[in-house]
Amino acid sequence: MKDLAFSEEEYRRRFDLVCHMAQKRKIDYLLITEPSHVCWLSGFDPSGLFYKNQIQIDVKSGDIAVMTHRTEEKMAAMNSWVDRLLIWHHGSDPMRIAVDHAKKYLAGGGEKVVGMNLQTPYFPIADYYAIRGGLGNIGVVDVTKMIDDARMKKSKPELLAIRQSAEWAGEALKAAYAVIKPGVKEKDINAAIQEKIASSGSEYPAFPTIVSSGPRTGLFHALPGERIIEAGDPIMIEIMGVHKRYHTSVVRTVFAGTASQKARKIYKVVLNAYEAGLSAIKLGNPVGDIDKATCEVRKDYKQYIPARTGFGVELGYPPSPMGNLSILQGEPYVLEPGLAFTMEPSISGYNDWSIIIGNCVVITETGYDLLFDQNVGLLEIG
Amino acid sequence: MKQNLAFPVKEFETRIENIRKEMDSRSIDLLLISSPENIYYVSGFDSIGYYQHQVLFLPLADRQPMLLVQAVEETLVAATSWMDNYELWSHGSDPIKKTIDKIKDLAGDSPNIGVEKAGWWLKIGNYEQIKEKLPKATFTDVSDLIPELRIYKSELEVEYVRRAAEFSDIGLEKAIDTVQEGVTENDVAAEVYHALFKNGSEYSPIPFLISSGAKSTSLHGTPSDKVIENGDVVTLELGGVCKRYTVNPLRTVVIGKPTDKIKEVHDLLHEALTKATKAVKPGVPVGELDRITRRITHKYDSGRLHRTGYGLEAGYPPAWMGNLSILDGAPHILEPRMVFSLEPTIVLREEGFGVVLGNNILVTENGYELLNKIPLDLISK
Repeated sequence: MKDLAFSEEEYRRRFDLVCHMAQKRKIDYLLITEPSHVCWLSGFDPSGLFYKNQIQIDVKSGDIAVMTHRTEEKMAAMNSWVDRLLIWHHGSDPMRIAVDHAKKYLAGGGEKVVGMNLQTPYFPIADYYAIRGGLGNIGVVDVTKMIDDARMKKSKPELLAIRQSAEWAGEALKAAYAVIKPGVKEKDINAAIQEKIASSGSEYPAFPTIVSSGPRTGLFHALPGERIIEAGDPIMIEIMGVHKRYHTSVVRTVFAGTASQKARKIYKVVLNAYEAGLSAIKLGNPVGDIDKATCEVRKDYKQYIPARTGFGVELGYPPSPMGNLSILQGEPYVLEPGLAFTMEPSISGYNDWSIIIGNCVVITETGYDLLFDQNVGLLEIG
Repeated sequence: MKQNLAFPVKEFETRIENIRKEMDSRSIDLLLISSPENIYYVSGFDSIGYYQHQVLFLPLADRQPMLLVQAVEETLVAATSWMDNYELWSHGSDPIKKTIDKIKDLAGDSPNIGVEKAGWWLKIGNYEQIKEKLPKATFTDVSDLIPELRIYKSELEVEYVRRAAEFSDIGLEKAIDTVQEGVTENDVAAEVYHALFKNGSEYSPIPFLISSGAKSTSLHGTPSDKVIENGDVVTLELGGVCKRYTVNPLRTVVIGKPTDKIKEVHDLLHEALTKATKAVKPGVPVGELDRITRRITHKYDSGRLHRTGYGLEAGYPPAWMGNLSILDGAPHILEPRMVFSLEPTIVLREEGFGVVLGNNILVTENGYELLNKIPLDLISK
């Protein structure tokens, strides 16, 4: 019995698009190991990401097969539209199985070109060489960017999933606000977030929840710990909502009790950067314009800008839900309907703190939608 | 400000000394360490930002180790690692070029470089670039070098493992309490998450598995909005995490009266797990534990979908497993300070249920220490 996250028609659309792109690049065969690509194309959504999962596609015939470990066999049969499964088990050699299957399509007719993910963590060097050695005389091209580009503009069903994930993350943020006050620990805030987000139905995130307070916000990627929140502390929270593996991220800095004048000043700069970023969102303009606008506002704090202004949100697995889209000056993409990304300017390390304000943006035919609360003014709680 | 150093500097020095001995015996001039677990083991650096290119360069004893990370990690390097020798790359710059330059700087143009070829984190595209720019260098697979050393836990690591076990029992107890007819799998997950995080457990390298009814046959089913019904078998697996060390117990709950078949399968797993556990002591080949469980469950051999267990290590998503494999034919012999799971499971797809049962075990000087305390009995609610 099939239990697909999207209609077979939606998967076929994606499959046809990728096969078309592969044909244009004279690629004969695809061997895909990046789990977000595997899921996007086939629906296969394993929790055993370590099981050397892959899909193989013969571009000309359209034959497709999913390879996984025996433990995930039922999962693959249920949540992918693909019927052909290649199953390995402990004690067998998965790369041998992969090679034997591919050889059926690649034998004869001169050198064939195989597209693989060369820019994913989910293709160990040893596996790559085992496959190359097994397949003999083939040409290899990296198709990571090609497939990332293919999935950058979201379909209507994908946008529905993204909006649902944002709703859940937004509710979890409210649950965090409800427990914040001087005297509670960071881990207490995290417990409230996790309880809310799990009960809502959000799936496990590619990126864990960030809760940090006071000087720990300066660590930027700090996870919740034992620190007790003190009056006046900034609290940095980043939560990912996940539906059908589509992620959204909401990130905010709020204050326990009353914020100091120093903190207010920095918050104001970041808020101005956030608003400048929104003003720079114009259909047809380069994505880098947004980064340029937020950096311009933060120019007096240039050495405290830790990262790009944002990133594309995608169907994803640990350790990252990010796509090819980078909200950074010099990037090649322009703003088009269907793009979804975070906009999260920050200042980090100044006064030992981080102040960050973020939202998720979906580009529409007429402009853009924001997926999280638009009231981002300084919030003092407790 | 070394506010979050998980181990004393002396412990890191001992680890590096042991790694360098291995490097020496394999004639390796420079290790390129890219997996977050191994970077954590050597330096203490603990970040969720390992989706971005990061490398710990470990040269021979005459040169200092060096860490290359994305700029956003600077404060975490300072807070969580002992290393002052680090460099940063920023978005828009080329971290691979920086990696190549650093290799030349530390080991010249023709070193024998140790690379984790079976690991995930040095991407093949980046590895090929490095190889191309260093045509005189040799690249030797050292995927096993650090993981083999990590199998044996120090006293402080054992302390963290025991704390992780306490967390895991708290979570599992909450799951067992919450599972009942009419609640959803997500409701159970919510209670488990709250209990674990409230007590200080960290994020888990693998999502929690809570599967009911026919979903229990998928073994790796994550929680959903499925309502738990009378007659359902509910399989539970979760991880308690302390300082990235995970302990992952597994239990099965039946809603209502278990069928004879469910009882039979659970009884077999109970016997398999108990006998395998009692066999744990230094000198026993790991494969013997696998053989013990399989002899007992042989009637349902086709329902045994995976090995009997595996080593548990400090880990990051997507895995908490180490090099130790509790599988017939695996090479290791049990020695003190090893930590592993024993988790024989049986899935009967045609019957519509799966049963799981598992504990984590620490090998001691004379036998073993059972890390999980929750009874193994089939739970009926």
